[in-house]
Amino acid sequence: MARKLNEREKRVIQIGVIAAVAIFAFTLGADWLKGWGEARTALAKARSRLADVEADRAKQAALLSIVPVFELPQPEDRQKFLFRDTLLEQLKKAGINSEPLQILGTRRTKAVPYKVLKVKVKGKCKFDQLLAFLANAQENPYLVGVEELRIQCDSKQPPDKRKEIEIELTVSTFVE
Amino acid sequence: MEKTARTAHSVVAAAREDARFKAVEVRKQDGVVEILWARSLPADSRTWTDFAAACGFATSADGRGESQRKYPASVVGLDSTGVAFYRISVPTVGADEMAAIVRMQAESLLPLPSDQIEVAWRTTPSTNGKIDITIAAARGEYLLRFADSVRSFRPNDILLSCEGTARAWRDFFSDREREALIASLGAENTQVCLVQNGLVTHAAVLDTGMNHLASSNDDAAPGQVMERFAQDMRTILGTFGWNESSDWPVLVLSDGTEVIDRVVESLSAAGLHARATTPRAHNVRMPSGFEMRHVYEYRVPLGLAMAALETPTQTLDLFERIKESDERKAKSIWNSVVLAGAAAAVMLVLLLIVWRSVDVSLAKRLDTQMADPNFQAARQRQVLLKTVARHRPDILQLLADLSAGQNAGIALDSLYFKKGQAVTIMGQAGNMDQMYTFQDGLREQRGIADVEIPNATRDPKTKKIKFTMTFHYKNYTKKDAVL
Repeated sequence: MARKLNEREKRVIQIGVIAAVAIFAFTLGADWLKGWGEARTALAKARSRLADVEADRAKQAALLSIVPVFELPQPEDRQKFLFRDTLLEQLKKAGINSEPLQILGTRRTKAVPYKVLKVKVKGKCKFDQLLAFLANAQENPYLVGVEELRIQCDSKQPPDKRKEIEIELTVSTFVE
Repeated sequence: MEKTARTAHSVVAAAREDARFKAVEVRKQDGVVEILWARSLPADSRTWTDFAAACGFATSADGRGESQRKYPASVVGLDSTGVAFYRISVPTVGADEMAAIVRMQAESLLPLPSDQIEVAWRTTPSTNGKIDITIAAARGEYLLRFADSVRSFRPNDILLSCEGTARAWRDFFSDREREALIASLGAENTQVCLVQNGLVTHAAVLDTGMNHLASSNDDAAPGQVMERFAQDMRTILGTFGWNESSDWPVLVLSDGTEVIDRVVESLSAAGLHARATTPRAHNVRMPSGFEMRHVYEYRVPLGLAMAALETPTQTLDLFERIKESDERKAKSIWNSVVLAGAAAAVMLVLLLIVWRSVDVSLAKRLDTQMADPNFQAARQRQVLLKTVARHRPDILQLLADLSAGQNAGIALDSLYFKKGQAVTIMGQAGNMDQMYTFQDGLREQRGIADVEIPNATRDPKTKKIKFTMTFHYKNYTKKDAVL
């Protein structure tokens, strides 16, 4: 007949069982926690991406008031002509008599994930025409912004007799 | 009561006797008994808790405080006046059966319902094939109250005072007998116990004590108190099974005072084999100032201490059920704590499992959503719109801001804006005031800051002020705005 275990033997068995369970739980738990950690990292990344898209109505409206239209950047060969043609059209529409547009080339910058192409415009126009052009400029779906603007009047003329101004305008677009 | 299975090397024993709390600490080493200290306190307006504090067991009066030192083992004596003793003989049977017989016999002997009484018993072998059993009984409520009152002493055991008396006789007094009736005279009563082979087999308390006996000479009828005392002793001894032919000596514990000698004489005259037994010092170390008369005075706590210093044998433990109840309570509290902890742990594990499941499933769902080309296109477009908005200065607004302020007499000749540089305007003003007013007006415009006039000169021909003004416009004139 099997003898009864004494207290010491019972304690040894108890500690053994607890140790075995602890080892099993630790092994399983480590993988479990690793999986959870990965899930949380993925979740944080996804949430961050989602935050790029999510915006409340007021913020979105404000955004669209600044950038009402915009096309995704095209490769340089295509983008520069699209941008130049639209710009020229807008200048004409505003009645600005410009010299031939000067494409300044592209450059990379850390601030944005695209290359930046700049176009320089020189011309003469009335101040109202410049305002009309600037008001209409944001309808250009390729325009990023005005990088440089010089407005020059004939300072020798009294203000009421100044009819024309000289402008030098540099605008930018993104290219892929 | 604290549970201990080991035999202590030093023990504090306390008892209440003659309206005083008395305690001693005794150490036993290499067969030598050392009395470390003895302390007593009048019991009139003091409690066991006060006395425990005086003995270094508690820091606060309610006994809940912790003493600075580690507690020694302790034992407390229960006054035998509240305990009834019975002696029965039963045939030799097994332990379980014996317990049942004792319980049944006790119930028939006791004046109260059995559930109100605590019973302890021990056996002594008898010559006629039977077993003699000594039963001690006391009211449960009385014991519970006592156990509660001495809690601050943290006693490892509560023994009967009569057992302390018997043990004190054995270890600290001169006469040695295998069987004897020990009489210990207190101030108000006398403890009588029959000690056989070192164990108390019967005990009783007479309500005549030293105070009555000492004053017997002053009474109108001298000797009457002594005679009544001797008569009472005979009656008590009769209930113990004594008769004229018994050879049990009656040993009266004595400190050598004359009153006790007269008591002994009186008992002898009544036909009892009485003699006085005085303390002796053999293998006992005592602290300075502690004399033989103190051994007599502290006989009960000394006896209790000696009993506690030995491996527990057959003690009459009336507190066994109370101890078990305390242990059950402590165990129950511990079990509740363990159960609550286990429940909390399970809840925590469940919470973690649910939390992880939610995170994993949400991550999967969002991953699927992110992989959708429509979502990617929408995100790319939104990011692009934000980027463009961040880099598109509102030139129209800038021109509007320039003309919005007070610009009377101001004519602008040129404007130069370039990202990453301060905006420069050049113009003419009728006078300095107009120029400064224009500058102030610009300062008030939202988005325009740091308006400076680096150059201002008066044209000698037109007498007008020609000035150059620079300012920063929103974030576009900062260096990092350049594309």
